[in-house]
Amino acid sequence: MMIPEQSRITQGQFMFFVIQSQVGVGILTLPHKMQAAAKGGGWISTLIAGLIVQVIIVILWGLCRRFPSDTLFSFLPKITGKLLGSLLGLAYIGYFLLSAGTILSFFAEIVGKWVLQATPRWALLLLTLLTCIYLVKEPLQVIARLFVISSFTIIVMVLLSLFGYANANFTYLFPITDAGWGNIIKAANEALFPLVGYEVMLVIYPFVEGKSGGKLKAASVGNMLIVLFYTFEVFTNLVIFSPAIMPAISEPLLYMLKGFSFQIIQRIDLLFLSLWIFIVSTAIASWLYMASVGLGHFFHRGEHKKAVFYAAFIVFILALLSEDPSIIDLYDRILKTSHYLFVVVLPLIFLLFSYLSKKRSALTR
Amino acid sequence: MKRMCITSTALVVFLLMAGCWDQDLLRNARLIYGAGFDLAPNGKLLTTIVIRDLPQSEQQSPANDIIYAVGNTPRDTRDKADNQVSRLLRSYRNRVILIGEELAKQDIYPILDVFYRDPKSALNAKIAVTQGKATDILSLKKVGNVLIAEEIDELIKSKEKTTSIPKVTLETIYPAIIDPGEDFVLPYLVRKGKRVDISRIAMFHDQRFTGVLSPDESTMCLLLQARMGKITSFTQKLSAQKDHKGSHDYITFQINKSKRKMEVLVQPDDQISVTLDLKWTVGVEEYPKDQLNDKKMIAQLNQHLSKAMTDLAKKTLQKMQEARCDGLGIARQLMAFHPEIWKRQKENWGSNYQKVHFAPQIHVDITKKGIIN
Amino acid sequence: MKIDVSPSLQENKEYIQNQLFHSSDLKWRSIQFHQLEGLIVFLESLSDQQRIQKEIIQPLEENKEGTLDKIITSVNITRKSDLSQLPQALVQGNCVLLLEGTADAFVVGVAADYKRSISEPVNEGVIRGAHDGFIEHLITNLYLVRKRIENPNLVARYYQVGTESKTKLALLFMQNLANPDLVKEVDSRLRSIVMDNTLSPGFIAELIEDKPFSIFPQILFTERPDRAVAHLMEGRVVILSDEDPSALILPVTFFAFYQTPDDYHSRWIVGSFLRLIRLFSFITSFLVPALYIAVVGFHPEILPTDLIYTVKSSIDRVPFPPIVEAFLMQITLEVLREAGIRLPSRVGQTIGIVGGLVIGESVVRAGLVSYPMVIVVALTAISSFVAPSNEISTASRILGFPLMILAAMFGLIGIMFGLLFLLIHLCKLESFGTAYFAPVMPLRIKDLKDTFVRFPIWSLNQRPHDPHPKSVSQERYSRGWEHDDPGTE
Repeated sequence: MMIPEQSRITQGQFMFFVIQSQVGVGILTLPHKMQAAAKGGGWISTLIAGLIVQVIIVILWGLCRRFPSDTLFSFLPKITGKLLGSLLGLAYIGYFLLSAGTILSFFAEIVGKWVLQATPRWALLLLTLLTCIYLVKEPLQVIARLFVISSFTIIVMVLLSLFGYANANFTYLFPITDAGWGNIIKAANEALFPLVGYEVMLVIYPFVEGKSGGKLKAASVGNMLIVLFYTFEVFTNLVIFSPAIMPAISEPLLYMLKGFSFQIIQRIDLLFLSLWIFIVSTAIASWLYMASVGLGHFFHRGEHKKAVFYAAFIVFILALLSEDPSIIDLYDRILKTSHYLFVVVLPLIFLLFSYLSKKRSALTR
Repeated sequence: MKRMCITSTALVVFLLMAGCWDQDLLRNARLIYGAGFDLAPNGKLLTTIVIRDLPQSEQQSPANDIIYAVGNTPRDTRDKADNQVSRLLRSYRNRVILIGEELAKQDIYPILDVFYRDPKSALNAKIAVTQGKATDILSLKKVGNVLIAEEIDELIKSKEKTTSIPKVTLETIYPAIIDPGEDFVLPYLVRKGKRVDISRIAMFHDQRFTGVLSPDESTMCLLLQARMGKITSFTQKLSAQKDHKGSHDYITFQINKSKRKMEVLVQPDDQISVTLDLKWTVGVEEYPKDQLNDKKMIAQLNQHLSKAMTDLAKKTLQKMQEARCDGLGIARQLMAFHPEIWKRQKENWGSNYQKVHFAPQIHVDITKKGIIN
Repeated sequence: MKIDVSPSLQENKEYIQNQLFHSSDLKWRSIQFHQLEGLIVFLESLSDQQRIQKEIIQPLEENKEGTLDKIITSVNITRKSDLSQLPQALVQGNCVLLLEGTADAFVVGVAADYKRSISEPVNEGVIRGAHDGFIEHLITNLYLVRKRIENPNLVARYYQVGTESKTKLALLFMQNLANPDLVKEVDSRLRSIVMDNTLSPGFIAELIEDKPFSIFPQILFTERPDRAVAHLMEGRVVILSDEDPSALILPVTFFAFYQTPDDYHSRWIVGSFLRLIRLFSFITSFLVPALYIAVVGFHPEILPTDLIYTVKSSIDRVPFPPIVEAFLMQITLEVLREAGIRLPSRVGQTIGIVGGLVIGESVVRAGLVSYPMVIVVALTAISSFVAPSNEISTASRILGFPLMILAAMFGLIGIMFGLLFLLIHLCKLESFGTAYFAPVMPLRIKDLKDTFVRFPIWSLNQRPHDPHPKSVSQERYSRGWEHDDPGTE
């Protein structure tokens, strides 16, 4: 390129990157799960989950800060040694790919349920993945640009949900602590998973311009916005659907919209789902990007572009296999454990480790 | 260049492999405009489906095609009906669902389940209970020049505006059907000769039809629920002045604003009492006696109307209690604010509800008199 | 290879005749100058014979004292000692003067100037504003631009491209505004062109644009000097070419294609409204047929009750699925449009009638296509014609076809993926280092003031950022009379 745009993204773009990676399929089912676990206090659980995520973000940031010019894959070997570092890097790639696969298969399931009942799963998966490949093989700035723009769909989604307040009944919330604080906390644990995606920090942190403090702020603001958005949606659904119906509806957000009709268009849920496609595609693209950066680092001398195709193929296979509900459950369980392992436990260990051995990569540079 | 070739080949292959799996052409659809469900002998279900057919040329007017099918479940009957019509039966623009009285006395949820399960179904269809059989009303085919299902749809819409019947669609009753905290009410259709009359409300308890309110009580019931429509008016006899007769003895007033305050109180002995305070500002629409410039007169009228309306409210609530219809959502209030009481009472809520003590109080305040005194 | 001019007139004449292959429009005339035999050679097709008469022959006949270059009154006269350069000079419209026994030939610039007068460009009419346009004459075009920017910072650089056709180009930019990297890049791309003939600016555009496989035009064509000047003042560069009235403006963003000088000539609220209408019609021009296919073929339940029966009554008799119907009509439309352009304007009206009446009415009557489809196609066509640039108008209509296919396969979901794909594509596109979809992607809030809407002129304190101009600020306190002391805030 003629005016060589530095291959960095701004902090604002970083914020939107975090936002778009976090919002995914979880948003549709979250109110249902929260209600099941915490009844009227579900929205509090979401907020608590947001706080927990904030803490994790600080941990990840602390780790990334020590290696300001390294991605996850290049600093792992520096902490743990070459062989173990590479193995861990591959494990992270596996985790990213599985996350992408799971999101994709949830997506296909919901679209298959609500809109395209007869369309074969592979066609949907292919359509989604082709779009994602087209995006992910681009440099980071291009991806970031799109993420900024597609974040505006969230605003539209909020506006659409506001219509629900026409039938709101706030007594549905009470008593807020019906399920007990224990359950509310436990539900917060459940709410952690729809919020995943902030791991993207580990990979794109070195590409963000500015000081580390600003980066933390960007990631935190992004997370905060998303937590507020999620809490808003959970709250909306809790006041619209009585506790008795919630168990029957697994995607309350869509169900709520299905009943609405405007003068010229009915089935608002379709409109919402269409916008949601943007959100989900960006989330999948984000995971795919993380994985292909890793694969590129290990196998293509840092060119993630070359890894995109077969990474996407693996995701395709993973998503195709999970047509059986038992397999998707399996994925879910693996992801939950690996989430704690890869995003909470390991980074903490790395952080302590690098702190103890005072391995400041900045000095070696 | 090479990349372009590969991409375009992939695209072409993809296109060739693809079909239009989910295509559901509007052209091939026979659109259901309304459906009625009735109890058939042997516990079977009689479904009456009204299809609106479109004219082949612009001069002709649309016509209704009515199909009857007997089966075990709504879906079963619909499939049987589909066998009787050309092209595909489609329900996504269904406007009205009528349920016969006898069927409504049983559980209505199984009838509606099929609508809730299908992402394409029209959840904004109106739902109503009919006196006698639903199929009888749908078999009228036409009321005046209007096709039956359309007439019912329009009628329901206009009566919703006058606070005669509740604004109910399949979607809005779904929470109430499953929720133990609230019972719902539906419009009640009566066939009058060749016309359909809608002015009453059918009460439900626990998904079962349990009673009917008179037109005035229906309006009162909706006002007590704080579900006022655009226009709400009552005609009240002024029985205080006994010497007048005929139309001189009545006043018609329209409620401009109704403010409800409901409070659920629980006495230590678990006696639940509900106070309902309604403040109405009303306008006089018809009052042939022409004496509204006198403040005293108005105060007198206010007092009289307040008392009459409070009586009506009491009567309405009593009927609702008899029908065990918890239309005000008392149970919901208990659940939210008195969870222990609810835990004790929920087993037998139907009969416990009948023991609830209601204390309605309506204040009428005449503020508008029209352009003459 | 240099060949000396021979002292013999005859030899020179023969050489030139051979080099031009005895072309019939090669003329010569003998003269006498200070008792020397001389020869005037010219191409009668390119040279202005009156000028030859006035500027060469008359002074010669007066037989004044002095050398030839003093006597001849023409502005442009050069001495050439290389015979091989003379044929090239002749085909550029010069006249060659040869004298017996002289080792130098004189090349006199007497090229004829046949050019049309400056008139308003037909394709880019405006209601208000300047009504002049570029013509097929480079110098005149340069004049039109220079006249508007009387500023030494305006630089023109000449280029010659096409090894055979030798087309003349001029690269214009503002020295104090245009990014030097941009100028350097354009310069190097223009220099690198190797081609026999570059017939039109379209060739140049195709040779220097970044993504030739994209459907979107990345270089703005205009015949309006005011438009070119406005872009120059934003720090972009303009390429003018001889013998063509179109100027190439680059780098441009997508939104430049939807702006017209009219936006700035009308009041800003009106301008903003019209601009919104235009951008809205960009979306409708490719989305409406796809949406129609998706709704009628996949999700009829979206339509409200009354509408669904209206639509249904019309499509019930149509024998084709909506996708076939749509393709049929869209292609018919394109054919009609193309026919309308090719035909002379008098016959063109017939096409309007045939298209409007026969296709519109009879096709529906015959039950081949439904009324809603005709409306949809008409809407598409009209909204695509709103675009002020013909390139983007055609591109937007072509864009509709893949979307229609996606809609026919996946309904609304397919359309959404199509749009996502399109958005990604727009994100990726860069032209000369400028993001194509700026200032939306990457987002720059300040530049949005003059993108979807047009804020009042006095609030546009900064130039658009997308061409990376050297200086961003363009004004401060334009309404200085409102403040007593404009220097302080």
